[in-house]
Amino acid sequence: MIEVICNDRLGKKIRVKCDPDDTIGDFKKLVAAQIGTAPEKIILKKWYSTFKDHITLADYEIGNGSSIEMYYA
Amino acid sequence: MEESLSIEETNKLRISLGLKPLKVDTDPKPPGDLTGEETFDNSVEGHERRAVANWRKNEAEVNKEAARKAKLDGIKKARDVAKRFAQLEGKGLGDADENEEDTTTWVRKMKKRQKKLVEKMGKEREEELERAAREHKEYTAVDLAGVRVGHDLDELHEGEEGTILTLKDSTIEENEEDGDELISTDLVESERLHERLELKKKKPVYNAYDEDVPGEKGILAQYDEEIDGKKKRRFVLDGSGNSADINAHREDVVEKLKAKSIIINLDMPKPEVTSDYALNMKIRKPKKKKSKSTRKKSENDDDSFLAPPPAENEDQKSDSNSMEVDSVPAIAPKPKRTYKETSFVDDEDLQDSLALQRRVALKKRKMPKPDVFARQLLEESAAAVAEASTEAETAMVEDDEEGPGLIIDETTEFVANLRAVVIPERKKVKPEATRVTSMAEDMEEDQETEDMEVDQDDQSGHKSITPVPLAKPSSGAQEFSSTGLEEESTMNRGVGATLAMLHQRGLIKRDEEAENKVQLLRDRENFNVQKRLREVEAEEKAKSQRLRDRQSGKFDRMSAREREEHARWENKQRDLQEARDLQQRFKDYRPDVNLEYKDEFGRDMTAKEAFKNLSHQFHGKGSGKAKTEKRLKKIEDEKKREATSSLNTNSASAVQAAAKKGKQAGVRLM
Repeated sequence: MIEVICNDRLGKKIRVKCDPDDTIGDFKKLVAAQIGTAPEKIILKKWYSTFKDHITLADYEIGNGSSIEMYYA
Repeated sequence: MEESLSIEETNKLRISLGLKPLKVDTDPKPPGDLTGEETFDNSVEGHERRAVANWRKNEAEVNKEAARKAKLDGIKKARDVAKRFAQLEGKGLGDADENEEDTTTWVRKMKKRQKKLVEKMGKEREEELERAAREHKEYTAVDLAGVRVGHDLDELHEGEEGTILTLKDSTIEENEEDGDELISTDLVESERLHERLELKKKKPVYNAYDEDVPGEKGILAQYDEEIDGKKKRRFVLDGSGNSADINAHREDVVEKLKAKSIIINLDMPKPEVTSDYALNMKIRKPKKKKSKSTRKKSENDDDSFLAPPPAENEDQKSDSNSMEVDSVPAIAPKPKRTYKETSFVDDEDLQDSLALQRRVALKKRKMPKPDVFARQLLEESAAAVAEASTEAETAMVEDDEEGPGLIIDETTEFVANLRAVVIPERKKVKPEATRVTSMAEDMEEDQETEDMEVDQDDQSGHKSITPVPLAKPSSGAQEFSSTGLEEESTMNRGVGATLAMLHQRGLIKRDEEAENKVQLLRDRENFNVQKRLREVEAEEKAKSQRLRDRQSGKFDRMSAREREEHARWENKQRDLQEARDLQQRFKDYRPDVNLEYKDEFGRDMTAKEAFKNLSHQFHGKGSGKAKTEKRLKKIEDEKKREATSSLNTNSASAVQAAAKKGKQAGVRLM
C-alpha cells in the first residue's frame, strides 16, 4: 500500500491510499470518492504530462508520498 | 489539511468500486509461507522487498569480506612486527661477546681454516687435472688408423716441413659413404689452380706428336675423367702413422723404375727443332751512358789507370800546386776513351781545372784562424758604432768582392739621418711637457693624461688642453733632408699623402667651394671640441675655487643663510662669465643652415610643399580626396620613372614601346 498526495492548489489536498499496481483510472475513482468530483472530470498531471487512465501508478513511478497535480476538466 | 481515509474505509470503497482490497505489509504472513519456498510475488511491493533483501544480503557479504580482510591485515601486521623484532634479536655490535676469543685462539682458528682451504684447493686441482687428463687423452697415430688421406703420397712429401691435414668438408651423405677423409687445403687449392690453368691452355685434344707409352692410354682418353669421374688418389693410414699400403707403393715405384729401365723405345728420335734465333748467345749489354759528374769520372779513371796515387792524396797534391792550371792536364792522357768522350775533352779539362781552382780559393778564404776573424769582426762593429754606418758598410763591400755591392743614395742617407736625429728630438719634447705640467699641477691634480699637451698661450689666460696625436715623426725630419730640397713624397703612404703629392705637382686643382666646406666643417668640429674642453675646465676651476674657500675658512665665519647667498652669487657670476665667453666665441661662429623638409614617404619637399604641409598640420585639415589622389599618383609616377631609369635607358624603353606598338618582335643590340 502506498499513500499518494493529490493537490489542486485551490484548497483541496488529499491523501489517497492505494496500490502501486492500480491504474490511473482506479486512482481517479478513489480520488473522486474522497473529493466528491466525478472521476471523468479529474485530470491528473505532473508538470505538463497528463497521466493516462489505463496505465498503473507504478509505471508512472508514483510511489509512497509522491504528489500529483490535480486539475478539473 | 490533508484529507485521508483510513485503510478500512478505503478497502470498503475499493470493494464497492470493484477493486481488490489493499495489501497491508503489517499483515502477519501465512504460516505456510515459512515452511515452503516463498511464493513468487510479482507485485511491485514484492519486487521491492526482494530488492531490499538482496541489498541487505549483499551489504552483509561485503561487510563480512571487509572484516575478514581487516583480520588478515592485523595478523600480517603482527607477524611483520614480530619478524622485525626477531631480526633485532641476537648480538649487536655494542654487545659484549660471551665467548670472547683472544688472539691466539683466533690465529689458531685462522690457521685451521687456511689448512682446510689449502686441502680443498689441492683436491680441486687434482680433480681438475684428472678431468683434463681424461679429456686430453693423447691423440696419437693409433687413433688415426684407417683414416683415408685424399692425396697422393708423393704430393705429401713435396712440402719440406710437413703438411697440415684437415678433415674434408663433406655432406652427411658423402661422409656416410666414404667415411672421414683427410685433406690438405693448400694442396687442394694448388690442384684446383693447376686444373684451371690446364683448362685455360686450350690444348688440342689429340696431339699426334704426343709422346705416349702405348698401352697406358685408352682410346679417347681425354674423356676418361668425364665418364669415370676423377681418379682419386688416396691412401689409408695405418696405426703407426704410415700409409697402410706403403709397401705396395714402394713396390709399385720400384716396378715402375724397373719397367722404365727395360723399355726400349723404338720410335724414331724426334728431330730437334732448331730455332731461327740464337737463344743462349751472350749479348753484350750496351754500356751505360757515363754519368755527368766529370770530376768523379776523372777520379775513377785516375784510380783505374794511374793507380799509384790514391784519391785523397791526389787531392792534396793538386792543392799544393794549386795555381798551376797546366799541371792538371798533365795527368790527363787517358788510354781508353771513346770517341764520344774525346769530343768533350777540352771542355772537361777546363772544368776540372776550374773546379780545382775554386776549391783552393775557398780553402784559402777559410784559412784565417777564428780568433783573428773574431777580432776583425769586433773592430768592424766598433767602427760601425763610432762612425756612420755607411763607412763600415763600404769597408765590408771592399772585403766582399763577390757581393752585390751597396748602393748609397739619398734615401739611405735620409733614413740614417732620420734615425740618428729623431730620438733626441723626441727626448727634447718630453721635458718641456713635463715642465709645463708641473707648473700646472698646483691648479689641477688629476687631469693630465699622457697624450695631452698643455700650453698656456691662450689669450684669455686660461690654459687649454689640446689633444696631440702620438705619431708625429715626420715633422722634424723634413728639415734634415740631405739635398736641401724638400723630401720627395711618394705614393706608398696612403690616399692623403698621394693627394697631397698630386696637388703639390699641380696635377689636380683644388675645388674652392669644397675646400671652403671642408674648412667649415673642420672649424665646427674644432669649435665643438673647444667648447667641451672649456666646460670641463670651468667646472674644474669652480671646484677648485670652492675647495680653496672651504680651506681658507671663509665659510666658517658665515651663517648658513649667508653661505647660501654666497653660493648663489657665485653661481650667478659663473653663469655670467660663461655667457660672456660664449658671446665672444660665437662672434666667429658661422653656422651652415640648411633646412630640409621630408614628407611621410621620405621625399624631399620644396618650400612650397613644406608650407602647405605645415598649414595642413596647423589647421588639422588636409586636402581633399581628389587632390590627395593626384599627389599620390604623381609620387608613384616619379618612383616608377626612377626605377626604369635606373634599369635601362629611356631611349631603350622608348624603342621597346615603339616595337610593341608596331607589333615587331626583336631585341635591340647595343
